[in-house]
Amino acid sequence: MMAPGASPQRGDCWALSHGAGEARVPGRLDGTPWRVLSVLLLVLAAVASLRGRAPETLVTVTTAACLHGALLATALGWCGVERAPARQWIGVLLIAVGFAGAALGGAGALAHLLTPAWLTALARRGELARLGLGPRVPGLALAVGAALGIALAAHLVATAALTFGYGMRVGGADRLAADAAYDVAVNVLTAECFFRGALFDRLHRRWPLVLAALVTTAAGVLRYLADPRLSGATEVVVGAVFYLALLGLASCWLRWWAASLVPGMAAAVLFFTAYRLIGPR
Amino acid sequence: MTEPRAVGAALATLLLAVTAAIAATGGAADSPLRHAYLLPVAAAAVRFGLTGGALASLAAVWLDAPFVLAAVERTGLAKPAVEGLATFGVLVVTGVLGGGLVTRARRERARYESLGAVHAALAGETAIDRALDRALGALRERLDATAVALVVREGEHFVAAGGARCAPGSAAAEVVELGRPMFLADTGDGPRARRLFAAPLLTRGAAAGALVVERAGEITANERAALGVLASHLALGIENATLASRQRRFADELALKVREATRALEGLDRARSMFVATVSHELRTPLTAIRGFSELLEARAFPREEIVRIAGILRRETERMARTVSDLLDLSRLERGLDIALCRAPVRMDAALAGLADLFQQSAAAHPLVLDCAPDLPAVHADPDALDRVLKNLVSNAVKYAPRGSGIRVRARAGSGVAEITVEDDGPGIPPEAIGHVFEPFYRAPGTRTTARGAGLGLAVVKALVEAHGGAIAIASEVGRGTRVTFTLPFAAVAGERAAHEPATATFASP
Repeated sequence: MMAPGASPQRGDCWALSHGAGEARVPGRLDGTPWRVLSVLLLVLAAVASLRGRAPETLVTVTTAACLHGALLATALGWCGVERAPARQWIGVLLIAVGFAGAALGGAGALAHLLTPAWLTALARRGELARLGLGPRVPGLALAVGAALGIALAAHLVATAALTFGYGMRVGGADRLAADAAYDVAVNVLTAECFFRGALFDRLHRRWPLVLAALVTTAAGVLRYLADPRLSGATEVVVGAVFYLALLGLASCWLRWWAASLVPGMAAAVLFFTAYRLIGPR
Repeated sequence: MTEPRAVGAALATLLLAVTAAIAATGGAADSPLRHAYLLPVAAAAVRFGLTGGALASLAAVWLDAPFVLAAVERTGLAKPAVEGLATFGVLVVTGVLGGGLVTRARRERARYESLGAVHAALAGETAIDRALDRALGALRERLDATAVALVVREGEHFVAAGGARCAPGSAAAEVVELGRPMFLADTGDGPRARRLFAAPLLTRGAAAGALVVERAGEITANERAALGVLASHLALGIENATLASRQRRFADELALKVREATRALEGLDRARSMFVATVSHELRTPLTAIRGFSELLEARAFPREEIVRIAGILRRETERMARTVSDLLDLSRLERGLDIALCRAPVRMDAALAGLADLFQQSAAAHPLVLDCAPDLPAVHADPDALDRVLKNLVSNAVKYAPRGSGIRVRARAGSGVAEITVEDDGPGIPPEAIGHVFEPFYRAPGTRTTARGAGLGLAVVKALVEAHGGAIAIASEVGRGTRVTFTLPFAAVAGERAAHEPATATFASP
């Protein structure tokens, strides 16, 4: 199938106008924001040392902001965003503001949306093309991503019903909005930007597609297995691995096929929405 | 709906139907109906290859998973749950392995078809650049690539087929220079990785060009090897096309040369025929006169005065024949590269011109002869007989062609180390198109065959004799105004006293 972002068969041949030395493949760790990561690590260490003495909300917010901030900062660094150091700090700051707003409760969770709004502005200017966020979104790929997300979500709901007797459980509007804001603006955003936008892109430029997708998906699954929000029950872990592996592989394929992160983000948002809505009857 | 989509829809429907049947019969993880998934998975593998088989097997696993996972949650890894999980493996293996085998077989067929298409593109094409364009078109159709290029070396430059430009120092040029394949996992240019593989086209150990394939997808090791084989066939095809083109060019050049040689031979044949006709005519005419007057003398008695007159005619005709034969013998000798023996000695021009006056005394009434020799003109270094022959030929031509009553002027002047002798008449002149040919043997200017007798050898012999003396001859003429022939001879003092016999070689102008 012709990919939406692919060049036509009669495109210009790179090898006719460029020397082999011009193939600018970045090194494995080129662009890693060591300074930002060091600061975040120090903050994490400080917060860990204050556990038990500082308010739990502060510890939770700071930890989440540092971890998600590290993912986003690394994604921006690896994809060669202009003025990367400043942008990385801005990204970390916006994520922290989002978590802080969510901690205040109520509509404060909408502060999470500052991060995607800022990234959208950068994408419109074409500064995040290498990350897979361009000014235009391929419509067909977006539809395919949404379809995959709906299929996985439906399968999750059906399996949860058959396995655990779970059903759909729509909570209050505040809770719904907070979960949606978190998934859209933090959970899916930082994970997709780092794993599919940066890690998969960097691996695929060296390794075969399948290998790059498997490694990226494995790393993504580990991220969620390490998430304290995930229940430790065996069947939940098995299910999480199953669905997150399928979602990860599908997102890798969408990233490669469409040269865009948005279809994979759509699939992930739909899946996590279903995940948030199921629970014991 | 196209055929692939129809088949895909049918297989998806079959998968859903099997799932519905399992659900309707209790949804057991070890339901016998789960084996029915193998049918659409195998069909997808055969029809669509690896991708279809893998997707179909994943879809079957995905559809069966709720039943199996539920069994795992209820009973743990009991027999029904394990059988359900084993089914997952069987479905994946069937889809992936079966599809992989089908894909591999199709790729092998596609490779052979690509080779055939490339050979067909190169065969029967006369121009090498058109052959390359056709080969490139065949490759673009068959290689599922983002970009394909075909580069050949032409001297110090690199030319890309299809009108593209190959920059010196580019990756394609580097492959040709080094004669080694190149693989880049990413050109680093764009939001998606772009693989590049370039294989040299090797002929007789040297790279004559390169085949470049770029793709946003994978270029596996197997495919790189296959492209290398394709490149060798391309190289062979291009070399054959080049050789065939060169052969056709040689054949065309040979045909042209044969045509030119044939034309030349035809010209020579015509010249031979003309020579035979001319010589026959020149010899027959005096012979007819000699025979006629001889028979007359035999048959009748004539008074002495009449006999003297007839004898004069017979003598003149005999001399004419002798001159013709002499000219022919000289021509034959020169064409065979033999030397004319010249006995060169100092010759005074005033004496030579005086002899001319005596010779043409009888024709002086019709053509007054004016002789003008510069006083104290040094002697020339010439063979007296040859000089006499030259002067006699030139004056004879003037007498032959000038109208009755017009004068003929012969002048001898001193030049730079040479004597310049000019013979000028007021005859009809020579047309401009004939001027360049007058010194060719047997050449007669247009319109002169009917006005004057001659074999066309006189001026050719004159030129050969003048050049044998180290001189030069030139002719100037204007239609209606007359003709002037000027030749030079070296002074005896300049040439130096030499041996009595001085071999010389003269050549005639080519007809």
